[in-house]
Amino acid sequence: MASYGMVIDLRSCVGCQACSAACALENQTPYWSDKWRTKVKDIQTGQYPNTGRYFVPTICMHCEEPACMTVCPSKATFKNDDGFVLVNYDTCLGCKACMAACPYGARYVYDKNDVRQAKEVYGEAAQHTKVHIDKCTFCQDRIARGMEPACVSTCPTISRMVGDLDDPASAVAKAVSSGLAKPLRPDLGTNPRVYYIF
Amino acid sequence: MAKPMHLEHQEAYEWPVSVYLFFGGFGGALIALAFIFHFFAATQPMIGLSVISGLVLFAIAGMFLVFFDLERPLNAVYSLNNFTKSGISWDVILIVLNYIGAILYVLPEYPNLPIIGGIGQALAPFQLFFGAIGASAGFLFPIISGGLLAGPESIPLWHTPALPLLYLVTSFELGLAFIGSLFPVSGLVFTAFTGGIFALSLLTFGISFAYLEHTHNGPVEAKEGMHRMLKTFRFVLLYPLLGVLFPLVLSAYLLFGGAVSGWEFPALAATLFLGGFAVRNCVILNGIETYPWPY
Repeated sequence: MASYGMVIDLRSCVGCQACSAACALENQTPYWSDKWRTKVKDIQTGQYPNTGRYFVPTICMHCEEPACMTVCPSKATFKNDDGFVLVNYDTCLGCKACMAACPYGARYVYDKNDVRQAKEVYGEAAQHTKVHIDKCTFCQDRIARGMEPACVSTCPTISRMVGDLDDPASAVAKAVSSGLAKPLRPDLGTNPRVYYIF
Repeated sequence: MAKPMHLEHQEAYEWPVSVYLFFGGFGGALIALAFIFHFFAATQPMIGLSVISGLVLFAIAGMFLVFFDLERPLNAVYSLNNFTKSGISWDVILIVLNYIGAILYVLPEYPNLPIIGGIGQALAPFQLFFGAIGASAGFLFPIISGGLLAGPESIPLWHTPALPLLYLVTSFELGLAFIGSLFPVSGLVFTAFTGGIFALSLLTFGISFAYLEHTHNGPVEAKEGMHRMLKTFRFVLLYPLLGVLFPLVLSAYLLFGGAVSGWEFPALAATLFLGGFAVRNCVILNGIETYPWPY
């Protein structure tokens, strides 16, 4: 089994939010409630005249040691064979323990208003028919078909790369092993599989 | 417009969870205290009213608020049946044990009630056994629920053993002041109540200080969360001043021979009530902050 990971290059991200839009269309995320599986944060640092500004695309880190999975009382949050952290919509209680535990703010409630709206917008094709806690799936269905996640294939500046972290020849593995790409908050012990180049 | 760097609040837990933690601990403490008083020949009204108050508070906390805070509460039944080892499941098991134990414990105290009185008479030989179950569950509830918050390393403001201890001690402190304000106590009993509140106030002070130290030396989220709380006038007034220092000073004054005029226990109960809720609510709301990007 491949161990998929993602590298996001902050040096080239322009904050266009194309990834958010592509993800919303692919995964029917409730954009009408301003809830996204991936969103680009617009960060300003420092004080005049020493200021900085950069864009940080946020996404579920699909951690090796996911805090969200540990706290889930119904085991609705689980890791599949490829290491993706997923949610079983049928057994999710909606208790929000995973939302509180996630240090990356990667989860949100797909509430009853969102489910109703999704049915109105997508009709029979609606993917989310039950209230649940929602998050990025790494577009695992696209990965299974040999495609890249929607956010990766859409990025106009090629700031996102996806690949097998166990394959030394992959661009993702090279960026990580060289130390160029780093995880966010490694001190929290969650071992994220999404890395950033600063 | 770019935003300056700031902590990002996650819309996860709101006030119902604070109320659950607060009334759950308070209700559990009342039941446990009634059971303890039983051994010191407490009167029937004291035991009965304490347990019934505890049950009512526990019902508000354990059933309604948390149940309705779940997005899909019926799935909880599935969860409890299949994953009994999860922390939240243990919490629910304790709540159920607390209910059953406390109800069966208090029934023999009312032998003259129709129907219930007869059942109570039949249960009388086992009263202490059921009391022990209810009291143990009431004692463990603040520890387990505080432990659930303190567990995940990813929320540094909560990730400390001080939190379950703080919930336990403040619950019992409030329970003692509440019972003291419901029933007129005097003489040795008054001294015991005052001494108990003084000792628990000292523990609360020590644990709060340890918690402050933990957050001050902890990760940036813990430090920022605590700074934010300490900059909130409402929190500073309700918890450190009214919830910790006031009970400590007043109970010390009473313990060392100060004049008693009857308003002391209600005042202690009121301030501990406000302080106890404030600390739970503020810790909940300020804990769910993420600061994932480099700083």
